[in-house]
Amino acid sequence: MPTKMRRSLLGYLPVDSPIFGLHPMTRLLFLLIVSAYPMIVRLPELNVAGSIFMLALFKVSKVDLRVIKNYKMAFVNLFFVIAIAYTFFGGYNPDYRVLIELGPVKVCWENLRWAMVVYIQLIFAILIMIFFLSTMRERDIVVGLRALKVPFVLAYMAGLALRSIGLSIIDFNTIREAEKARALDLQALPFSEKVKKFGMYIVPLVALAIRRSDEVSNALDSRGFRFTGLKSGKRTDYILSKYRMTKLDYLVLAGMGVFLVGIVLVSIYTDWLALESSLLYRI
Amino acid sequence: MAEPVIRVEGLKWKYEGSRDWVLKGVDLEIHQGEFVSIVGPNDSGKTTLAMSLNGLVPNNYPGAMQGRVVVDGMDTREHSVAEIAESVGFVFPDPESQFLSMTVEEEVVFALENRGLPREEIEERMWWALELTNIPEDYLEKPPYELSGGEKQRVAIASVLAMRPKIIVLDEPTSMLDPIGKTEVIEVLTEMKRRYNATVIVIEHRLEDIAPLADKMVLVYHGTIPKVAPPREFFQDIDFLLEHDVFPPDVMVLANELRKRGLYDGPVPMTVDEAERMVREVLGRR
Repeated sequence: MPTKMRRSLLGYLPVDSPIFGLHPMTRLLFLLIVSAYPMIVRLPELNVAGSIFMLALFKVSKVDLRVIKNYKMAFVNLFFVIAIAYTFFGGYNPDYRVLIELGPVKVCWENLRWAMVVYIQLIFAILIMIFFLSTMRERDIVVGLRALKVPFVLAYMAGLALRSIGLSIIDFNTIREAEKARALDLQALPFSEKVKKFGMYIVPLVALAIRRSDEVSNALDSRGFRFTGLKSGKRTDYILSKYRMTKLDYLVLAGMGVFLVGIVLVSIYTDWLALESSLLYRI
Repeated sequence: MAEPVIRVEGLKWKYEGSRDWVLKGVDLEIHQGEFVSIVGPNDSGKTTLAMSLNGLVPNNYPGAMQGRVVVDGMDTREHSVAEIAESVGFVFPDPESQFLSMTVEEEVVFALENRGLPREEIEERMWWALELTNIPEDYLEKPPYELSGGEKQRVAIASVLAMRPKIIVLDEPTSMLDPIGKTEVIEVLTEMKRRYNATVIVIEHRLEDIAPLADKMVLVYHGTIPKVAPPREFFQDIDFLLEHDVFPPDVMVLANELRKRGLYDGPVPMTVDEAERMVREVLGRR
């Protein structure tokens, strides 16, 4: 029997994924709390451990790991951008160890090391974001924000913004197919022509986006939606009432919170998380 | 006779930037519980008339208006669309353009949440609307965007039905659907007619499907209403309809031809069964 799937913002997830056992608010706070870890911690070893932990979470949550493969080129590009930025524009100090000299540019080990530190931090952060988008639906985000007492208008706008990205991608593909059917294929053109002709995509895309927003506004009015600013008025949170916080939610939240406070305290009061403790700094 | 639930008096409407009036002094009365079908050629003003019934015209579109539209006691110029939505549900032609949520369940309860109804009532209305539109329970968690055309429009109708409005306006609900989707929506309209005593106003081109359901047919032509009549009377003068770019179902055209040749003088057949009886009667005479 085929596994029942549930649409997430970035793909599909089996209905029996353990992640659905958690309240949407917990999953939303996961993004907010856990993505603070790589921002606080620079130690590459800890960020590598964090990335491995995230991959394990992907597996446990039954997220199709192919979703990460879709971003492999982004990972590669990101590495080159960071490496180029730090090695060519990272500055030079006479104490630095020069690895290669390319004309006036000195490629130094210290700059390359910084590039690696930042890259590993970003990998951890990106994996957190991919996990979040792979396991959350627009509904979960709205419910999570409403559970955090965020006004309905803001929560709904956040959901609508996320959905509009998806709709714009669909519109863009439709326009691209239509342009191809009329013998305009940008992929086959040189870069300068691509730039010149890009308007052929952008103009209808913007026109469609304006039309869609007009339609959504009419539909909202027709369903009795009254804009009450940040006050929710008499609105019932029916969907929110279908979710309950469980012991597991409190446990996960407590765990994430304690870990966050822990690394903040350790980074303030000890040098265990300092870059000097890293193997990279002993080379 | 009871006070009409919709009264359109001398309605003229012109969109901003347009030279011509789209509606040129329209008068129309619709009573509670009537099933009304609005027909007419493209660009005749049907959609504008429909949008004037829930206040989208003039509230959401800039333009010039003369005359007035009173819906369930509310003058559309004095009440917002959201206020009028308490009485009028509106189904748009493109099902995707009216979706406001990413799951069927959220979509159906959205308007009920807006009204601040108790949770138990929301739940009860949701199941009622889903049952009436034949949407299975396992669709609740699905994104409406991923359903078939007919299913999408059924979800859109369920979302409006859940509001239990006195009046439901459906603007060409089958125009963007494949034949199966069209049939599904017509089946839902049939169920609505049978089980839900609301005033239903449908703009529809599939006359053969909608005529048997309608209590009243309204012809809109170049911004005017040249004919309002019950279906049998409406289709009595086929030549008049053809002159106004309305193409009646083949069985009615056949009845018209037989009548012209003096072979048939009975009522206009509205269904295939009635047409079969008509043909048997004609063949029996010969």
